[in-house]
Amino acid sequence: MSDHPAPRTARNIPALLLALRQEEFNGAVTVSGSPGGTIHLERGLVLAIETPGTPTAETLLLRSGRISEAAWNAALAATGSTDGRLERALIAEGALSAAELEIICAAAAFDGAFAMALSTPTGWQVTESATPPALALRPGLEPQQLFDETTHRRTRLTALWGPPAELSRTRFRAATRSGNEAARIHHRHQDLLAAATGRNTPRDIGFALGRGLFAVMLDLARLDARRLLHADQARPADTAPSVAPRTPPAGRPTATVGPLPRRTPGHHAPAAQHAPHSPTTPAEPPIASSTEKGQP
Amino acid sequence: MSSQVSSASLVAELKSLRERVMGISESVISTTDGLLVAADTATVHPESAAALTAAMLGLGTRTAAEFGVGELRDVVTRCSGGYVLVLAIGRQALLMILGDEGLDLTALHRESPAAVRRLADLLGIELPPSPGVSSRSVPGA
Repeated sequence: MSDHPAPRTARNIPALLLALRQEEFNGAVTVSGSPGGTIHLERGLVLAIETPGTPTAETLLLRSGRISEAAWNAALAATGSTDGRLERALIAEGALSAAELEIICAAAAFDGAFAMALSTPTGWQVTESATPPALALRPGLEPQQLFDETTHRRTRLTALWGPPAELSRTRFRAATRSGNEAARIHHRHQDLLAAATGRNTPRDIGFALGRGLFAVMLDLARLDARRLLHADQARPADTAPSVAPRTPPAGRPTATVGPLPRRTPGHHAPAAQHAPHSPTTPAEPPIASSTEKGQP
Repeated sequence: MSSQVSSASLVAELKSLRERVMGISESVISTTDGLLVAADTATVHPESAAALTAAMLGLGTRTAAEFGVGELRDVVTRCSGGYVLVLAIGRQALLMILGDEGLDLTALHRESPAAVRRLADLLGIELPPSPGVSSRSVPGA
């Protein structure tokens, strides 16, 4: 049962997944690489893909603001009454509809497959006992569906921009544009332009905005075609703050005796008071303050 | 710590780490007492990060000692929107890494020992002879 002779000899991940689909395998495939990831399977169908390369369904929901942190936590707390299934809890709590959840989970799985296909894996491991994903699509997707969609996406981006792997590594910076031009940019694109600082790759922008990798790459390719982006590296001289290393002074600092001088309104010279410290945190009124703004 | 370290080379090392590990967004090097040394940041305030990093390490070390769970390796704070990690560069400096929720922890664990070693070289810090994970070649039983 625990031995998988066919998958072990698989030539690549797609061949492995097709073999596991034949077997109706339950478990996960952990892929190493950059990025690697975990493909969760149930009866050989893909329930979810977790990879550092693209946001998971959880990130898509939370970062985009579709679900509030409070609603998410409430659903987590309610999983006790839904057999530990977060999807059911989210629907039961009314956070979102079953259809919407299904769409988000499927989108995250397709993006995961696409993100992992951008690099060559260095190895993989098939495990029957893996930590289940936070959100899963049930029933899962046929592996073949994922391959077809990934191929389609790669073709689309190649036609529009160039090699998808190169696009995924490009750090775009928004070009300066006239006010007239800015008015004609869709707000979805404006968010992207605001996030394109020259530091972040499309994947980073996806995580920051709660959008899938492919959607971000497609939009960036379109914006680049409109000459609204520069595909250059961030200039380290500009981004780096003053970082002169400091060493503590050689001698011991002279100790200040007595309380710190305080400035009082109406007096030009600071007058010494008995307060041990001047107030530094505006949120907290100083204890030794002589005039308190009492509440009526 | 040598006072004539080129900050540009430290920032270049931080930038290179950010580019090699998916999900790292910003990083700060500070002394163990919370003074800023170098930073590769976009949104965080480097001085505040340096101060907090020292506090995180202090709390981590104290907690580890209190509960007798051995030597502190690193401090990891996991939040709904990402990670904050603090790694020691020898006994004098600290590296704080800020990452999003998709931070590639596997890649970070692979890349960080070498990055810490290079930063230690640049800063003129001598690392202990067995720097954690990378050279755990203690002859067993």
